[in-house]
Amino acid sequence: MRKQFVWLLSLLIALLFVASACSDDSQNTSSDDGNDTNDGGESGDVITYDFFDASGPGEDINTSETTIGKMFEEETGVNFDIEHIVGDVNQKVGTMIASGEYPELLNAEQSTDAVIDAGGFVPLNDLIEEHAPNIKKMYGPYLEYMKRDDGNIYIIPSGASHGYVKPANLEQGAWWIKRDVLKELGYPQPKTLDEYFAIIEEYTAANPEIDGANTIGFTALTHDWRFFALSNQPNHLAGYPNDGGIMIDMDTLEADAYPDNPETERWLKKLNEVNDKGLFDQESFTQNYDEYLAKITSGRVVGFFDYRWQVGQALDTLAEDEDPYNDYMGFPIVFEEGITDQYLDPVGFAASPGIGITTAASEEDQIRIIKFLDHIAKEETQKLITWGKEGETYEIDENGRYYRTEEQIETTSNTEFRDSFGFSYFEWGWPRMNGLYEDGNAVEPPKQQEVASLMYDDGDKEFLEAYEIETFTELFAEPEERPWYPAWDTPIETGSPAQLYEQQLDDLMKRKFPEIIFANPSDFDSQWSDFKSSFETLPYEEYENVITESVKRKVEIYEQAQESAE
Amino acid sequence: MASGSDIAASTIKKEKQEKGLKVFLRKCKEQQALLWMTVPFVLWVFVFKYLPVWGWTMAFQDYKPAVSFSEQEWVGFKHFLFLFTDERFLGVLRNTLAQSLINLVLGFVTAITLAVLINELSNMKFKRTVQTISYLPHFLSWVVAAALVSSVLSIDGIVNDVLMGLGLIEKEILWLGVGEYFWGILGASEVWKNVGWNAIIYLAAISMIDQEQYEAAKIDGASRIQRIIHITIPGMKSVIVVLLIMNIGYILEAGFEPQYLLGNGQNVEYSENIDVFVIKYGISMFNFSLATAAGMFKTVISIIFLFAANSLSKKLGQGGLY
Repeated sequence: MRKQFVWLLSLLIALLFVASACSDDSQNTSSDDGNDTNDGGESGDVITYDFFDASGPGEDINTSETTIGKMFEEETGVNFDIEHIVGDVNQKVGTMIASGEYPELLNAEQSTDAVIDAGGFVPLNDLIEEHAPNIKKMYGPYLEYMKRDDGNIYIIPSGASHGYVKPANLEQGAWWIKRDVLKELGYPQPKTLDEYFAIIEEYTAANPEIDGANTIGFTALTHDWRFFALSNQPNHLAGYPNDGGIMIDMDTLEADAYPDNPETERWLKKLNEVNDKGLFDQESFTQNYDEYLAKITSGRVVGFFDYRWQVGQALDTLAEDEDPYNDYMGFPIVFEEGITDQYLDPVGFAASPGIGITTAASEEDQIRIIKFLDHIAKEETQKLITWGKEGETYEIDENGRYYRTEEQIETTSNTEFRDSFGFSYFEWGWPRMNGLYEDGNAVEPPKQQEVASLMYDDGDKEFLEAYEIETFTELFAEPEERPWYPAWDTPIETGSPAQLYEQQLDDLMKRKFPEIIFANPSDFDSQWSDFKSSFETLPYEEYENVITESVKRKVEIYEQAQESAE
Repeated sequence: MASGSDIAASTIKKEKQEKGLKVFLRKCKEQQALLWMTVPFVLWVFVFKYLPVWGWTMAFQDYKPAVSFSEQEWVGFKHFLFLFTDERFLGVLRNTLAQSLINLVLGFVTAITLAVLINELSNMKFKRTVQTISYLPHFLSWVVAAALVSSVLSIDGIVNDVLMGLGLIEKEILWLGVGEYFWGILGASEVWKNVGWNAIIYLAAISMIDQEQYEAAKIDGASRIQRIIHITIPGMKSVIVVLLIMNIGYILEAGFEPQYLLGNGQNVEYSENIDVFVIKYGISMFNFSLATAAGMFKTVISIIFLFAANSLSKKLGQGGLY
């Protein structure tokens, strides 16, 4: 008897361990496989689904633990366990594909095409038609863009543009220079690549050391998939927006892979020359992302090119400290005067990535989830996730204009508050509009003039006055109309020559660009022609065709929409 | 030893008189308890080592996930052709073999040397400290270790500082930016990370050596060095041979993490090995078939190496694994 009891006890303990190892530590209101219902008190049944978000790392949380997530739960009876990506997206999503086990809701980022190819997402066309009038309204002009070759919509991306608002602060690419440098040289305004590097040269010659460490003239981010921060540069210098690895002719709509173009040669030649003068960071091609950010935060770097959202961590740190002169200011640099810069994103619509409902959701679940998404697409909900609650996180003046008091600006930029309120989890990645609400207020508070002007501190104002501008984006040209923008969201079929090209080009550029830039200037020409002939062996035409086709299709849809609107 | 083998020989004779199957069943019954104990492990081997071999079929398909086996498209040797005809494959193979050989040789020499040196220490406290410090890096993840290595080797890192201070180099060297240095850096990092850990098994082998041999040698007037050469090393020989054979089986497994984490555009011609190539062109392009084909290739080569090493060691009179 006694022996049996001991065995039973140990079995129980073992089971307990297994059970606790399998469950996660979040205190969700329902069980883990997500489909089970659970009586959630007064509001009736609350159902918890899993949402895997591959767009970036973050804290895993159940949406009902946030203020607005709780409101959504009360209104729709649905909440989500959000799990964020840790590590490599392709690997994680690849595992899901291979096992066929998906969370009910999935944002697969750059692996979206693969999930679609594997049949992981369910078509949303009928669901939207029947259950989601608000999504239909918000994405109205873009629904056609969202359709894949088979005519189905699988994912709902964020950012359906409604009207254009020029942002007050840079969010996109720019050539950055440390403010200290600008101040010392009497606030010069570089416009061309030559002028830009002349400033760096002048300052570095006068200040070989910053805070005891060697001054770094120009550094570059090249780590892993972020290599485009370097390879996109010639495109921007030639007056094109961030369309990825191709230039698109405004008239013929033909895509041109530009790595072998004269623009690229001209840009590399300049970097080669800059390197010869000792201004190019020798570690540009060996540092990883963290080392790059740390270097910029250290204040040793005079200038660099990057996208604001990519270098945000470093620039935010610099902005938060006491010293306004270690911040950086971005300029729209082009090859020569006469080229209109296109650094600001045009009104566009990225049809991928986005969130999709997977085959893990039963038909009933699909309807519940789409209704939840539709609830988010209501304009009043949109205001809740971008502005918050009136009287708490924003105010309305007598003209119906939204604004935030200084106190509210401070509260709403506090990470802890943003997490607990739910801004961090809902403001991007879910159905979202961009631009202006119907009442004329900006969707995003920082784009509202009333908020933006309050956000500048004394240090910012010094530079705004010196350059005689109201906002930092005033130096940048208005984006031209490019209905296909961005071209990089074109789906590339798994296993196609176009996909192979992307990988081979990446390898080739990563291998050859450092050689070309670090080469002795007298060897530049031979290095360049070497690269060019290697490039020509790649299936770049196949890639161009895929992009051209997609661009033309988008323009066609756009024109049809314009006509029917008239 | 001699008496033991006599007994064994006599049992074999006895068994031969009975019939094969009967003996087998009798033995099974005798060793019932032991056999039951092996069941979970046999199952484990079967589930994790033999069942996955079925997945090799993927190498001959254009494998698409979530599509049933009968609907997969069969493409023959297409993926092997892609692998072997890619102009970079030879370079990749060269890197794999070179990195592996360097790791193998450095790993063995340093671990054995460290084990012998530790064994010669008489101060227990110092001995334990050295052992602990030397095997601690083994527990670091390569992600952390690679970050340490790359910061030590950066332009303003400690390696450049020391070399400049000693006047050995005139200008800082970007160690990870020069392809030719990569194999050396990799070998050194592997040694730093694993030498203490690898030495443990040799220390265990040394502790099995009969202390009387040392005493006898001492009385015969053998010096410390002579004792190491003639007693310690021969005493470890069987362990060394077993480990060598097993490691040669892994010759194409030069590792993946350090090469992936320390590799960059400037040293790619020396850092990219088969595993990194497979990640780039297989896994991350969702081309699972190519990844499988590369895996098959590696397995076949490994088996060849394993058999070769085993028979070589038997010929040299060291006894093989089987």
